[in-house]
Amino acid sequence: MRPGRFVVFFALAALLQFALLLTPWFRPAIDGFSHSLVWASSFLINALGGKASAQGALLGSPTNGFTIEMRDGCNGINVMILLWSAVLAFPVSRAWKLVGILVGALAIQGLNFFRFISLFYLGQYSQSWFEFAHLYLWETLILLDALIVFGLWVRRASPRTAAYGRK
Amino acid sequence: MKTRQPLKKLSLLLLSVTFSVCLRAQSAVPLGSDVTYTILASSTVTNTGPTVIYGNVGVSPGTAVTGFPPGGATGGGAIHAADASAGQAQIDLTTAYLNAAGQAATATVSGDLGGQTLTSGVYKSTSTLGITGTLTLSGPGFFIFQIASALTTASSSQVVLIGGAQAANVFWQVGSSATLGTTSTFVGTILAQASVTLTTGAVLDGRALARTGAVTLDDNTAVNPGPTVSGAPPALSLTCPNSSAPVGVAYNSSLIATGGTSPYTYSITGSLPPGLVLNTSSGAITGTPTGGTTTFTGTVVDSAGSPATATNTCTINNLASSTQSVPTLSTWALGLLALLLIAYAIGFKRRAHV
Repeated sequence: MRPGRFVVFFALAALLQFALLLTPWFRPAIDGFSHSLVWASSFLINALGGKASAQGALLGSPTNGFTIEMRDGCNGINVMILLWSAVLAFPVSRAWKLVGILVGALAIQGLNFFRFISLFYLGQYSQSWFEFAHLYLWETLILLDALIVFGLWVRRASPRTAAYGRK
Repeated sequence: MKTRQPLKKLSLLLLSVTFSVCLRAQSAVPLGSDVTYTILASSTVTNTGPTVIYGNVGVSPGTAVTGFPPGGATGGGAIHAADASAGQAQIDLTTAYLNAAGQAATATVSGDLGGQTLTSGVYKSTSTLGITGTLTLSGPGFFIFQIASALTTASSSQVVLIGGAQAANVFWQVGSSATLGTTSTFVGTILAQASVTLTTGAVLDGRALARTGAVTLDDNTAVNPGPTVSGAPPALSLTCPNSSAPVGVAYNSSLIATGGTSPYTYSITGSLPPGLVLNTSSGAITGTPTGGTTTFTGTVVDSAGSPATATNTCTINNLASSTQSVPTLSTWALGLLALLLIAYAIGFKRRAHV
């Protein structure tokens, strides 16, 4: 694989996906996805004995009014796009690309869902803890999550290492 | 036969006196299912900021309840938007409104009630009514205010209960709309023909029920006073103030006592966030917090012969003043991730070719 080819494909894939994200046709789908995540967070918190209410992109505490909002950029889609771009640009079979896209989406969305709920609780407990977790801890963990998933996928999907693995 | 005649006259006299007293005495306004509602509107319920409602919030036949969150219904309360419960509450509100409006007046009031002390009775106003300063309601029984048009309370005005008066026994039948002034403290159930507005920081120990219009809220605390009280007062209890106190933003909330014998004396064990102070006679907690999240024990003592005490563990948080968005990755982190993905892919391929 030529390095330049990968960079160009990666950049094109990322640009195309971010451009699609900004088009009005995708707007309802993105909003619906964000609202679904908020609703699911509220459902899970209430099911586990906590208290939360969801309204659109807002997840709030009915007891103290603390509210967090899942705007664009909070729903994990930006990170997924970068990970998908790397998967699409990497020279492996289409089947492996599909596996990478699905596994990557699950890994990012799963951790982001947990991040959202944890920030909801942390924010009610301590503003300083909330800011530390939001600005430093979760940024690092999400970065590592994306890199580890990509690294594992590359090792499994690459024909040469797969052959090594079979030996 | 002759000896029975005076007895008969006496019994008739007693009966007529009793009957006339019964006719004049005010009676409880039947709230029905509205007992559980602290906020009820016909068209919309609109909230701004971290309002806390103890009790149900409902709207019917309208459907819009906006601003929850950041507002919240707690203390067993929930939000009912155009459901069967809210529909029934509106039907019961009509019954309560007509009952309150139909009770025989015992006195006429006008203008501004500030500075007055009133005992139980049915007070009729043929036009608007206002409260500037302090209105004191004294003694047991029911207080019913029949207001032909609007009720408006001034900024920082307050309604104070003494002599065993109960918030659950105070009713305001308002012919048009009611507006509670900023950082005012109001007591009683508002039965408004049109709308009710609680302006910034107003505290309501009662209910805001609107028959045909909206209820508008803004950084308020509203506590449901429970069912009307006849006879012995219910056990004394204490409700915590609004727990959201953003740093640098003026805060106005209150410890609110329910039941027992008014007036009450409030105290705190522990400390409030710096910048906030407690008014020990009204329970109001006011000021501009400069930081710190604190948990404290609020205590209220009533004025019964053998004073009762109630406590509650409360928390006031210095949460951020606005709703917080939580991006998964910042812009610089997204850039870093892109570089790391590229670097890893290229590095891996190079190693694989070696």
